[in-house]
Amino acid sequence: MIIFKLAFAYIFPVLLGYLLVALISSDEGKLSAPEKIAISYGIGVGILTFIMFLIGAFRLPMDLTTILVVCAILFAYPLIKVIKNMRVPNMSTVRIDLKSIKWYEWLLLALISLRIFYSYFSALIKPVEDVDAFADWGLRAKVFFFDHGLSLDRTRGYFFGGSHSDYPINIPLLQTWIFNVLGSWNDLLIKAIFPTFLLALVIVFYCSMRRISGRPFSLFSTYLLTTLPFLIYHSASAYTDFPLSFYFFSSFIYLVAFLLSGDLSFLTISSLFAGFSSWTKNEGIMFALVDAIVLVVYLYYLNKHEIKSRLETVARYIAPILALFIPWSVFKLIHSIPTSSEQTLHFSQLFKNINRIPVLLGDFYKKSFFYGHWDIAWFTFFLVLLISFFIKRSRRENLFVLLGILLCFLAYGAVYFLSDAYVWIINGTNINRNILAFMPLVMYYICSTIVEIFNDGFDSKRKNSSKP
Amino acid sequence: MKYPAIILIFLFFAIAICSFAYCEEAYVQEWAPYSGVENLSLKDNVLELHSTSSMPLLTTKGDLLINASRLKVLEIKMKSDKSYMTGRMFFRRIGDPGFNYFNSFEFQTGLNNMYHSYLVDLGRNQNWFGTVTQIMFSPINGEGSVEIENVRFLEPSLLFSVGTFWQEFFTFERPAPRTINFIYGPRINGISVNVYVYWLMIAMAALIISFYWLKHNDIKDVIAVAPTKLLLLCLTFWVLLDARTIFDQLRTGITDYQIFAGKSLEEKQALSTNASYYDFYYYLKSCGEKVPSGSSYSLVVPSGFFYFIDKSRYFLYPTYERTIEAQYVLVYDPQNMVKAQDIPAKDHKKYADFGNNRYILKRTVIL
Repeated sequence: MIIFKLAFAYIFPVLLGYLLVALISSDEGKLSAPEKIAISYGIGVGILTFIMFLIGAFRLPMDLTTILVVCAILFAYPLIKVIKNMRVPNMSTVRIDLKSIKWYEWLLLALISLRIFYSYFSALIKPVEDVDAFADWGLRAKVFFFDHGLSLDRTRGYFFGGSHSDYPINIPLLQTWIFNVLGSWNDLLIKAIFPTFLLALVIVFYCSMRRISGRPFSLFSTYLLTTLPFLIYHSASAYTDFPLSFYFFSSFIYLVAFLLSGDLSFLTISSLFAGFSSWTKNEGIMFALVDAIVLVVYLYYLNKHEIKSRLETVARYIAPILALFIPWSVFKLIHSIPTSSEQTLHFSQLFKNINRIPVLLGDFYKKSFFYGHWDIAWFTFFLVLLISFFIKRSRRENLFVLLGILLCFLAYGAVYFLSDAYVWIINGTNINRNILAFMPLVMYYICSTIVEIFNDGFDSKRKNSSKP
Repeated sequence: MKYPAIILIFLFFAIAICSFAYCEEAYVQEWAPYSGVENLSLKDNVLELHSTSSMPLLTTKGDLLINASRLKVLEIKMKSDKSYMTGRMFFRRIGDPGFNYFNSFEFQTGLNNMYHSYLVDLGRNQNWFGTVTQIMFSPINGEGSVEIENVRFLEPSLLFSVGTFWQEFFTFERPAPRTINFIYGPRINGISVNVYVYWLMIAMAALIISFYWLKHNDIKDVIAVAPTKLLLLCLTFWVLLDARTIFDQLRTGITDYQIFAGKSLEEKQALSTNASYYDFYYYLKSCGEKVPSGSSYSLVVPSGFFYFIDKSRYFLYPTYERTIEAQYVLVYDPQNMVKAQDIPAKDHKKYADFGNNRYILKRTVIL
């Protein structure tokens, strides 16, 4: 019985997400079936927990019946519309000719699968054990579950979950949802949340690579992504850094897909993911801003449409982000939940903190190049950057990815430069987890630029070989 | 021309064989139990023992007189029923008053129930010189059975260098609480393997660029060809490093399986809670049964045990942890480290006692 309950707990958000994705992207050919499911997991999780948040904020009982009834009301229209538009899928687009898969592709597929299996195994063999995972995220999920609500009574203990009350609650509420479906508190079975984010990330990454390269290199790129030891470790722990990483990567990559195709459905998917970034961790809003800046730069420099149309595009992008961010901010305001002192920016210390710059750069240099978190990924990143500079040819969208990475650096740099969060650099706890948030994007840059370099190299070879 | 070539090949092999051979060695054969060791016996020249502590200790009998200046390699051949433990060897030289951590070496054991040879580079410890008279040996860092086939000290050689290089590269970085923020990665001679990769890449880049420069004598051709070669090389190193990561993850999987597989959720929660205080989870469970749901408690543990307070909040909800004026006071002090003034006495009476300084006090005056 518990297997069925668990399956329902994980499939239900995917179904919610699928309904939304089907509404947003009705054209069958744009997204492959696995990609749609992967996206649906991320979006479905975000939508479900946001609905739970609204139920809790209006002080309705946050139990299974209420959640299902509210979801049924909200998703009746998308469901009817999707059923109406449903067509028998063309199986030829789904079927894969297994004989066409080469042995090395099988090998890469096996290595990727091994990593995903390891992540599931590592997560599900033991309960939550990393400190913040139980002391913060796990505790809040348990409190919400036992209280059937958001615990907003200040006279009792553990207001709003009992831990950092200013942290967004996407992942704690997802855990609460699973406890609700199971009917009991179980901190082992909720851990499948995190490897499933890895599975979704792997699919989205592969599909994004597939848009610009062949199957073998897309598989190799995805394999490279799964080699990052720190990323795999986090995919099996119960911290929220990895889900944030998934949300930010997806938001950026569908923004890139929009830049490539001009398809507005990609823009909507991207903005939803950007919104869910801010719903997962506080720095998510910073990433949503990074996405928005990249979009504005694109529209300003490269888009040929009228100014009104460009503004509409920006508004279309920002609207879902604000729709998620504003209720959360208003809720914090109503309940007097202050931003933690470490995350408050002190602009008055702009010149006083100048000595922090070499420390920040030095810490990044050490942690990125000389430890095992990222193997030699950062070395490869700079090598690829150097080579693309020499070759003087880079795809337009790669420049936007590079701009995105640069903005992530600047944003984190600004936070550590101007806030008391600097102490987390000094004690060495944060920088790798911060890098984790945009590491899949760095991997995408490396791999997509390698595609570029190799194409360029081969082109040159061809030119050389035609020489007399 | 033929004979000099044969002589050269012969000389090459002779040098290789000599460099691989160990010249001088010292065996340690007689051991006595020091602490945390039971059932020590010698069967067919194999020393068998059972560890009952986190650091079982054996010491050598009599003076060894090991020439530390020459013998800089320690080889241990042993097996244990526990995988991936940490062993430690302490040494004492002439004139040293006793053993200490500065005069010790650590090594990591492999998969359980198989004999492994572990090579330790003693030269890394700057105190390893002069004449060593006594050794204290902790083969594993926990409870379990151990069989030691031999412990010997050797002169360094090429074989040793290759062996320690290999062992160091594949040293198991067991996941720890800090892993959520930090992974050291493989190290050789105390330096990150990444550094070796970078230097190799720089050297290879210089070679590749020189080669194509000499071949084409045109910078455009060099730029067209060299980057792809360099990138291929870089990706090759990346894949090689991943081989080690896969091995580490496999070992993590095995360790986790051995610890957690087949256990109930409660047992798993206990195992992932206690560390060296094995019974803390069960103490919390007993408290959860005694303290009524919805009431408040404060936890008294030795100073610095913040982790225990967080764990209690996590496990005991729907009871509330409150630092002041709590209805119940949970006292957990098995090692008698809590100061008397930290335990409230006035207006409190003993509510439940679980023995060994683990009990619950109840506030008698309702505020």
